[in-house]
Amino acid sequence: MAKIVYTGEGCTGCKACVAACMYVHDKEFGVAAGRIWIVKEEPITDHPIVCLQCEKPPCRDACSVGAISKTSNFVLVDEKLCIGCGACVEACPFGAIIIHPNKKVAIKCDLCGGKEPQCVKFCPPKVLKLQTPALAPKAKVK
Amino acid sequence: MEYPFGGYIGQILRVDLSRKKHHVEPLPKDLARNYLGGLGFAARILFDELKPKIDPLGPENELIVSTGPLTGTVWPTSGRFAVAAKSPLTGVWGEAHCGGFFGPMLKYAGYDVLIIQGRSEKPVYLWVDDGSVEIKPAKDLWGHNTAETINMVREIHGDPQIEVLSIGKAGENLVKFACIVNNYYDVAGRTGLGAVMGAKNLKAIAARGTNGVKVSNEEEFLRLAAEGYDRVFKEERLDGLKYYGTSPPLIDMKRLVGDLPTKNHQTLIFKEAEKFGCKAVERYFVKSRACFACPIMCKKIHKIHSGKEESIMKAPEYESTCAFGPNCGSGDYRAILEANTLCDLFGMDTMSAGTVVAWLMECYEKGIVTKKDCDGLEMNWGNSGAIVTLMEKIANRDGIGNLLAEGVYRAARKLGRGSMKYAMHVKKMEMDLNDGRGHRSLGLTQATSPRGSCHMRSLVVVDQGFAFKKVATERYGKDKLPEICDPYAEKYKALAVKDCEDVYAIRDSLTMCWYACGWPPAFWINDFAAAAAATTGIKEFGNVKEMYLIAARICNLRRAFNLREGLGANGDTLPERILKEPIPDGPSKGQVVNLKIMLRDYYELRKWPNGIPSRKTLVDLGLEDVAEELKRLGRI
Amino acid sequence: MEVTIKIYGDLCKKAGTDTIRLPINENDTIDTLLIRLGKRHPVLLEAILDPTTGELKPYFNILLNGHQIQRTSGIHTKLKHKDELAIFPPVGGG
Repeated sequence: MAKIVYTGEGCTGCKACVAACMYVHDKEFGVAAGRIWIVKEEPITDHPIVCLQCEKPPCRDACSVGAISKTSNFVLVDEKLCIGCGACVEACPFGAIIIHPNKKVAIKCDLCGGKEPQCVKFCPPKVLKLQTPALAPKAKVK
Repeated sequence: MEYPFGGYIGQILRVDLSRKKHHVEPLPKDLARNYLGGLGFAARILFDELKPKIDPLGPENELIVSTGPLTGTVWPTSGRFAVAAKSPLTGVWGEAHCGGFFGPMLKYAGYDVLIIQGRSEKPVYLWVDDGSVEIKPAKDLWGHNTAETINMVREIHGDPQIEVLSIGKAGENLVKFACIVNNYYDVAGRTGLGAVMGAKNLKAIAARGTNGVKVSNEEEFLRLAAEGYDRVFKEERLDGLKYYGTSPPLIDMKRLVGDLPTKNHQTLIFKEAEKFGCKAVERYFVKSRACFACPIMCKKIHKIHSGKEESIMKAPEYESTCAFGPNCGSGDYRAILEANTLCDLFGMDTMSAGTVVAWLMECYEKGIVTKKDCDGLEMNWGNSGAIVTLMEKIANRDGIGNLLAEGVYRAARKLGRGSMKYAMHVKKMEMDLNDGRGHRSLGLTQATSPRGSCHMRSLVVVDQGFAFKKVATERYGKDKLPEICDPYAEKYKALAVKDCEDVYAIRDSLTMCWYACGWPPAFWINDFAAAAAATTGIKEFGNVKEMYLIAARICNLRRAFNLREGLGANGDTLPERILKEPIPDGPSKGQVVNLKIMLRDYYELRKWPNGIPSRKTLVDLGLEDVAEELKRLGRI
Repeated sequence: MEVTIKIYGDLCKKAGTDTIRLPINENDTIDTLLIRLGKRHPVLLEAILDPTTGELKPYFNILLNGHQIQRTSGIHTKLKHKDELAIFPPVGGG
């Protein structure tokens, strides 16, 4: 499974990744509907939360309408099937899937549809990486 | 709800605290087209809506919080906003600019500009939640510091992602230099705008928005934004900022070249200043943090030990470091961190606070005040404990703090005893921690800044040494060297100051950060023009001449605001010390500022005969209505 | 006879030190000193000199006893015993 990984330190809490992500999907820059979001706690905690594309996704298991499936590369939400019940949000141990505040469907990282992930591109300290399966044994996730 | 221009949301939120009402107005297309945003919007709205001579702490004053077309996009360093009102400190034009996250969130909530009018009977806070706007009681928030207030508002509404603008005790107690804080330590610092909020009984403004900012020319915008990021990454001249923060590299240079205000500007070298330089502060580094989407990441968090105790605090900026350090004769870095943090918590401008303390120290040195006058504090140079103690006293208007809370001008007026001689201010605003005797163009900048002594309105970097001669040549021509790069020369400085004042007016209207275009000059007005055009779709913005025209319009409007209040060229001065007292030692020994010749050049470039905008100048900028009003009032 | 060279800002990361003492002779000027400096600290010299022109990169500051060297004879300024040179990456602002 490919996924976006955080190198573990150096996030500055700037939210460039969130705004870039929201733009890719919704064509507007904002912070409420990014598929990556930042936990900030004073004085020094800044931590990105993004889908880890689980091998056994609890979100898929929690979905009662079969809107979440696993492809060979990542876990995918079919927004047309989603009823916005939020069961997947409850099920995810990382908080990586959320309900879009305006569309009212579940949204999560879709690796920018296979194109260059914009969160990785716009991250200023360069602490987000696209981990592809071939690199997995070398990459470290703290 | 689609606005014809990209970048803008197209809505102004007007809140009347007296009538407890609010309404949403469309953003006039002419306003966007002619004033760009941020500072430009604030200048036009305040000139139009305020009458002259109103009480800045009364209900007739308006607090403007305004964003620009780039705010909330991923354009590098655009995550900022402007705040403006008539200043209670100076009695004239008040503006402050701020980073953090509030500006973008205001736009996501659906508004380009927020106008706060009137005055609430009881403490309230404003809750802007997408389309819903509520004025809510702030009884439980009043009295709390800014960090507590931000946390409490987030808890009340159950969302840690809410952005909050807050005042602290200083704003509540109408300290003349109280400020407004978001994100714990991002501050709209100067001119006492926190007191304007406090006088309106407005404790905080909270915003949450689920929408976003659209851009007009997506492909061009994304190309420019990515190229902008790349430029910042590759710019090795930014390494110092990225690694050490804004203060240590500047302290190192200024202390060596003799440009570091020390002991209330008595001199410009301070032997303990090395304690605040790169090598000394490196050991405290914990991590870097950043404002919204910013690739420069200049904020530093420091950890410092005192015996067994360990404290983590945000590292101060240069101005704050100098204000509580060398300018008070202190070499105590820990005390600077503490004083800076207290100012963030109480919501107080560090530069004004430090300068008024330095004034008290000089008065003590000269025997004008005694230990008894100072509530038992020994106000010797370098008494860092006293500096820290005074922060709380000022915020609470306690004892001597009540005098200092009035700002250095009023404090000196009240105290008398010849203390005005040591009050370092221009137009009643305490001096920024720069000195024209060590950096000549700054003298002109401080004298002409519309909000009083301030470096940000037109800070020129090319005369901070010959390191910038390439930039100077490109911008102003080889024939201006060497004088334009000489920190001790007056010649050609007006040219650079006027140019920077225009470019920075655009910077403050787009809203972007000083570090985008100051040092190093990673971006300049041609970049701003391209970004503005791609974002908004307004082709004219892409023309640099048009940008300069908008800039001149905004600068003239600020000048007109002050003129209307009765402040003309008589306000364009510097303290006697800067004009008459030669620096006693160090590389800048013997230097004074010849302000007259720089002012003469500046007025000529601005087309302000004797410092007053001529009618023709105003009309040429589309400010005929402003000219009419000034004429009607006998100001021109 | 010797002079002290102090390296500031992030440059000292590249140099590996912040203070270098070098002996000088009577005829040494700043540029002859920099050549010798470069032999001991090639990484530092690479950071401050433009490889195509051999000149100081246009945005570096060299101070001699606190004064900009451009106020004297620039890179050809003669040195004397106990002079202190400071090499700065560009810094500006307030």
